[in-house]
Amino acid sequence: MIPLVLKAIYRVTERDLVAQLRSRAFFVQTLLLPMILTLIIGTALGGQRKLEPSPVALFAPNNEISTALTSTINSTGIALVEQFSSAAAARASVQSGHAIAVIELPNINFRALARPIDQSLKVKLGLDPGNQYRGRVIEQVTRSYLAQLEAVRASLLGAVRALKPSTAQELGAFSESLLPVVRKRLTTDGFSVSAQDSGGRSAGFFAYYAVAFGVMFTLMSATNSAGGILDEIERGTIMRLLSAPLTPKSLIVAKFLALLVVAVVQLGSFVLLTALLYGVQWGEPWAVFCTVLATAAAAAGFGGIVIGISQTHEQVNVIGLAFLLVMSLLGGSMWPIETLPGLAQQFSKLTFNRWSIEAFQNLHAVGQGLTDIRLNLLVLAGMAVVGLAFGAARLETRFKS
Amino acid sequence: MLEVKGLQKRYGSYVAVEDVSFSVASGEVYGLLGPNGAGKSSTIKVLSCLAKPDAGSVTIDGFDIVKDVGQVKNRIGIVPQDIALYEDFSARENLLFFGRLYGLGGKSLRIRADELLEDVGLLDRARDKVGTFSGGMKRRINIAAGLMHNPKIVYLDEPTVGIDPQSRRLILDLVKKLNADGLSVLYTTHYMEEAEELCNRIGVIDHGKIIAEGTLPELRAIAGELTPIHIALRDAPKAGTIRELEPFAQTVSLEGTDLTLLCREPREVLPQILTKLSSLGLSVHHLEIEEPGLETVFLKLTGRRLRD
Ligand SMILES: Nc1ncnc2c1ncn2[C@@H]1O[C@H](COP(=O)(O)OP(=O)(O)OP(=O)(O)O)[C@@H](O)[C@H]1O
Ligand SMILES: [Mg+2]
Repeated sequence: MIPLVLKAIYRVTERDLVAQLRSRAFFVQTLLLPMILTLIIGTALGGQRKLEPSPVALFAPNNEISTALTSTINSTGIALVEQFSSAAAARASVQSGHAIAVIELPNINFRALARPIDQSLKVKLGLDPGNQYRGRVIEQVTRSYLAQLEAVRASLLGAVRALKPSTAQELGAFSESLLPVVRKRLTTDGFSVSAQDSGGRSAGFFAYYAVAFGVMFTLMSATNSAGGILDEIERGTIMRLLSAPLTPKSLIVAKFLALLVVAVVQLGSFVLLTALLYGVQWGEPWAVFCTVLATAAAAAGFGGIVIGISQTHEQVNVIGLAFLLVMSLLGGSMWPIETLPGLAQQFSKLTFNRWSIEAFQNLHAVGQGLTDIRLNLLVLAGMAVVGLAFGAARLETRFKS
Repeated sequence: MLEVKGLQKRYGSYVAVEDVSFSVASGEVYGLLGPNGAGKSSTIKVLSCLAKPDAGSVTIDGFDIVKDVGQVKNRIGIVPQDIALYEDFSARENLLFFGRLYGLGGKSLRIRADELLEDVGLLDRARDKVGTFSGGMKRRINIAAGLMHNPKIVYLDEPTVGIDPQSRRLILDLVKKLNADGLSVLYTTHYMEEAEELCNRIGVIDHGKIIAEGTLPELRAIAGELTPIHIALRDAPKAGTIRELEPFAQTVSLEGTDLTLLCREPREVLPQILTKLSSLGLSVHHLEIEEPGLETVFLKLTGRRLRD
């Protein structure tokens, strides 16, 4: 036999959800907005960041040297050389943000290497500061390629001097015979980087913000729910509820059970959408679900606090918004927690956002499992219990006085 | 059925209900009659388990309102003074929801809802949202919502305030019908005609105290053979006027330009009163001799009118 109060709680939760489903505002705020936001941040942050090669602009005569450099750079996997017919066009390509670096090779070909030349090999390298890291890699690859080229040239010149070819024709034939050997050395022994995606915190920039916003939305819904309790008070329906087999405590539970469902749907839709549309891999499904649930519960706790300290709708809105902004700023919903100063990072431990985002990040980017994030889940659950208890206690004194 | 003893209810330091005792027998309609702010709603609030009494005791069928909340809640039905319904839900949905709160459900609940919708004359509007209803219609659904779980006693807190005569008639008839079916009723009002028409017994409440209680004839006896005469004057009289009129009446009271006298033989003293008034230079704007009733009781006991 189910206790009457549980049945009553269920009925209140059910009515609340039905009422919300009927309201257009709810549909927009709870379901449509998260979807649109996911699409916007997805587009802005380019979805899941992959190790895709970035273009490198090359202005060089089309000869063995430039071909060898091209294949060396391409073999790093982080860049793809694009050949330009003028130096200006190559530079413009970097300035427009298309290419991450520009390389200009002097007009010398392989055969010229075997001849003593006056000027040293001058290569111009232009880097885009916005892509320094990849740019520096390109620089290193180019440098080491040139060093090899120098070495080859030195040995070639040494050989030429030793053989003392008497005619230009002899020299030509000799160079020709060396060509395959040199070409082989230049291309196969080139500097090479093999890159692969091994995760890391900032790899999932998009995933980070998707969750960060998701958490913010659940807090918004919590404020709504707090307003819903105030509605019951103002409408007078709370009198009917409390004269039926419900106490203020069980009423709070019922109201925030409805919120829990809403918040799970909200956060869940962020997680699902990013997974489906952008291929974000959130990690161990069961652990992800627990995190969604714990976050939703913590949001309910937040609602409990808001209703506990608000007497009017105006207060609910103002207090709700203030809390939401502060917690989002401190808790990593606006920018990553790691970028905050040390003290703020300590304060962020007081926010729901932090514990939730951290749990998601650890599952997603670090690849942890349920047991690794148990502290986060416990803290979130604790926040839920404390917040709800506070709200219930306040509602009780408001009514039983 | 309902037993209230020495009930007190405070809001902070303000005493809204000072000392209220009465009982409602099974199958009875008990009226709580009193002016605005008398403490009717506050009494009902405590009786509905919505607030704890600061002193005194309340039992329903022998169950204590504080200790046996569960038993009490199943036996009481409340109809709040202000409409307490979900406007974005239909009339039937509202009724079903309030029934389900008590763990009821299924076909019997639907039948119950339709019965009550029929009783309040809104079966044809059952599917419409309550938000689209008129004030009178909302009041009727408000009553039905308190009855879904078949309570033994229902508290009707001024259920006819601010509605049209037709809806009021419907509500009064509904209360009679429900009572005939065995429901006990606690009915608060400041309309004495309603109390006179509906109630077996009436408690007159003022400033948080029951100042008189009894059946209608018993209360009439309190008033004695006194008849109220209401005289509205054109201008506010001077301070001494009341004393000048005292020889003609049992009590004389003055509120602004409204003069009220309780007289034993109204038809005999009225000409004398009018002569007196004109000799005082006061002209009469309106005059009314009331049938003796609850109003008289209230006037006699408090010196004030029940309604302005
Ligand atoms: N929640 C409250 N806090 C403080 N004072 C209150 C509260 N509720 C009622 N009161 C005061 O208690 C007194 C009795 O109010 P109550 O509502 O019980 O009167 P009433 O007899 O129902 O009047 P009415 O006919 O106007 O409904 C009033 O003076 C009112 O101002
Ligand atoms: Mg009242």
